[in-house]
Amino acid sequence: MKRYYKVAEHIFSLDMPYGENAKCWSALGNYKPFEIEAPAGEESVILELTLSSASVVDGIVAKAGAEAAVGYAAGSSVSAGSGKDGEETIGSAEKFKVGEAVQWNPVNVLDGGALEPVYTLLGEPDEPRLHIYRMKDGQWQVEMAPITAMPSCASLVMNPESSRATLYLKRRSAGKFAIDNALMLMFAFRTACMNTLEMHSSVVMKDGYAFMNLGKSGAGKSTHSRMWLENIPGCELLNDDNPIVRLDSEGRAIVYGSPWSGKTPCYKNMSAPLGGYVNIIQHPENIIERCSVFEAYASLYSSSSGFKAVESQADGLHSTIEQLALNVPCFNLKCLPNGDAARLCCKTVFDALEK
Amino acid sequence: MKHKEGLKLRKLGREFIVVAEGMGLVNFNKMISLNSTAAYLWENVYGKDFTVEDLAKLLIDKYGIDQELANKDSASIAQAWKDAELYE
Repeated sequence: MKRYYKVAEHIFSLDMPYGENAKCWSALGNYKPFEIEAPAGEESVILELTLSSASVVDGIVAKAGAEAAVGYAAGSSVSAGSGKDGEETIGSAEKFKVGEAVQWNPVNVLDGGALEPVYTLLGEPDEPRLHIYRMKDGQWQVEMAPITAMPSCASLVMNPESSRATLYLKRRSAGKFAIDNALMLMFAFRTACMNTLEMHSSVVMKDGYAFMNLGKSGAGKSTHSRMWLENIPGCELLNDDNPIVRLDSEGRAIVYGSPWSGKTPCYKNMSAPLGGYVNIIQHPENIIERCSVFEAYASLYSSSSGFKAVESQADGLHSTIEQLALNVPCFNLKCLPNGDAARLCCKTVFDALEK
Repeated sequence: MKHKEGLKLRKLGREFIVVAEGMGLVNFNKMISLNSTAAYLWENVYGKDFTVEDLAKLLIDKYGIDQELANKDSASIAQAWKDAELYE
């Protein structure tokens, strides 16, 4: 069954080999607010993800009829999925030990052939891991796992334009992780040249404007958002981790909620014009300063997703980021996690908007 | 001297920046700001093997300055690029 979703006015589809009432669809409740009827013309669908029903054996898609072998050999540091819910379950990843990154040597998931590694995203041991490989025909293969200590839990085979992909699960238990990550990655890649940025940011709305908190992992983006919500009347969280910014036909930056919001379940199908964005830096006192265009560009650049090694994506990201850096106020906020920081920030961004 | 592959000169409003976009530079998380003179030099030498003398010649060609000043300015920009680890 295929379902359609609209995020930041971009339509995408997800096709899974399960019926309407299968449990796997309810596990994807974060997409529910964004679901739409099938559009009249397929041309408006910018990307399509298909979850394959085929199982993967030794890193290669098993031929039809092969036994569904999900799980890993005994002795692996990761326990095999229980499988008791059957193949219609795609729950969250089970518990496993956080430790050293395990070595991955994936092969072409379709034919067992060689792959050319092009990009690795390896964070802290408890953070997700993602590797991008080039297949021989210009397609991409993406391997992913929820933490670095885990073997790859899914292979994504994507066309060069990132508009169509098939996801092969190696662990049914990591299905939701794999689908969320596959869609986020495709969305970022596909929309990079469509005046769109998939950001790593926590966003608060107030008085009809959206304000994005940017910063490194652990800088306190979400905490600062919470300070606004607790201390300033009329605030609402739009998204806590992955909002989408899109330039409209007049070049105005609009921030949209998305089905992806990190650890906070905040999946709002809402939008507001971007009023400003703030780099959060932990500090023993609260100080706010306007950024230069260069600093604004640098902070947006490091907070937006996309594959800059693909020229069309790099060009698209640059043109969107440049517009935001030139036209929307950006601040550095060195701050404590308190209400005063939120009030100082709120007053400063609204003062800048009125000018 | 030769610049690393995968660096890209981009215009940012009235300013210029160099960002790392190539496959081999995914861990190069720096962004460099260039003035218009540095951007002119960059455009003319990027992707080539060049010397400080080449830079000086480019400055003389475009701005008509004397050799001594051109030598001094090109040595300084060449060093700044070295400090920013922009060479292979």
